Amino acid sequence: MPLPNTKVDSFIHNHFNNGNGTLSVFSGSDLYSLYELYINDKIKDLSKFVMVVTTPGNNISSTDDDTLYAITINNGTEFAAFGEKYLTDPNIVDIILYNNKRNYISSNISNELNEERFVRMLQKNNSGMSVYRGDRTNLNSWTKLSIRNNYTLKEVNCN
Amino acid sequence: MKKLILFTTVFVVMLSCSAQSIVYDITASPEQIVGDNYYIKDVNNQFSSVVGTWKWQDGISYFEITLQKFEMESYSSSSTKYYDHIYGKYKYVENGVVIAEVSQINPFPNFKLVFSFDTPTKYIIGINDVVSGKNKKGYFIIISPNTATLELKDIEGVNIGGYNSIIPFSLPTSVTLTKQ
Repeated sequence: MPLPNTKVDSFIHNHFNNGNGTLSVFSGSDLYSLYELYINDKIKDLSKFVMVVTTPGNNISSTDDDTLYAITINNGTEFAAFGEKYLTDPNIVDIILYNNKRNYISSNISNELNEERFVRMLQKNNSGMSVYRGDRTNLNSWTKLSIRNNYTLKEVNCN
Repeated sequence: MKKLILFTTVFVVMLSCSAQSIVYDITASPEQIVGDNYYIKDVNNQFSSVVGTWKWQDGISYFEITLQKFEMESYSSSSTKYYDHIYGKYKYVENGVVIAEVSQINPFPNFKLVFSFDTPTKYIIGINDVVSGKNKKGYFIIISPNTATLELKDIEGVNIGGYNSIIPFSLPTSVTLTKQ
């Protein structure tokens, strides 16, 4: 997909089940695309930019495991450094950050584990990004996710 | 003077200890790996089962990959996180004509072929096709000591910007290879 002609305020997309399961969080290619928007100056206002993903989870016959996540950029300097190091090549993102024993994020594991590992991966690598879990029944209720020092998930209601 | 020597010795030992990384085996789960000062190491030399040259051949067509282990690699000079990794090069020849070739094995960040340990007989791989510029990921599964299957698929998610080419992916996506 080519870069947009104009700058964007936000970016919403979905993952779908292609027969190989569905990744329940942002993929490596999603983060790569976000960095492409950034380095090509296609983000209108970095401090207000939101990227959203919706997924059907692994059980396509039920909506119980559908997921909704958003990421924002809270520190442009950190994001730029993180992007320069990891987001310049889809293989670096996908294999080094996602499909690696130190942080395995995959459609083959539970939504909960993917969520925790995704947040930890961004936080431990000083990505400059914040992660939010949305209420899948509407877009009005969001919970900010982070990892405590003891590596457990911390949830803060944004409403 | 003795006190000074003792103090210096203790200080050096403390510095040495604080600089040491916690070593985790490559089989450790992400939840077991704590702190920012660690080395994820191929403790039991499991990489030896894949390192080397593997080849698929059909007449005068062949796809050959060569894999090399890189030890204690860090992603930046200031990082205290170290890893053992496998990177590789490849050559694809179709009917005697070289279609694609990576002639040098480069580690992070300039690699074209990377293997990530999943289980002793299964590796997740990422490969860049130097002809189309496209990437695929997949599995390299060892089915016997000298035989492995390679299956590649598209990387999940949106794909905006940099690596959109009208040139199709030029490498084989499903082959059985033999260790040379």
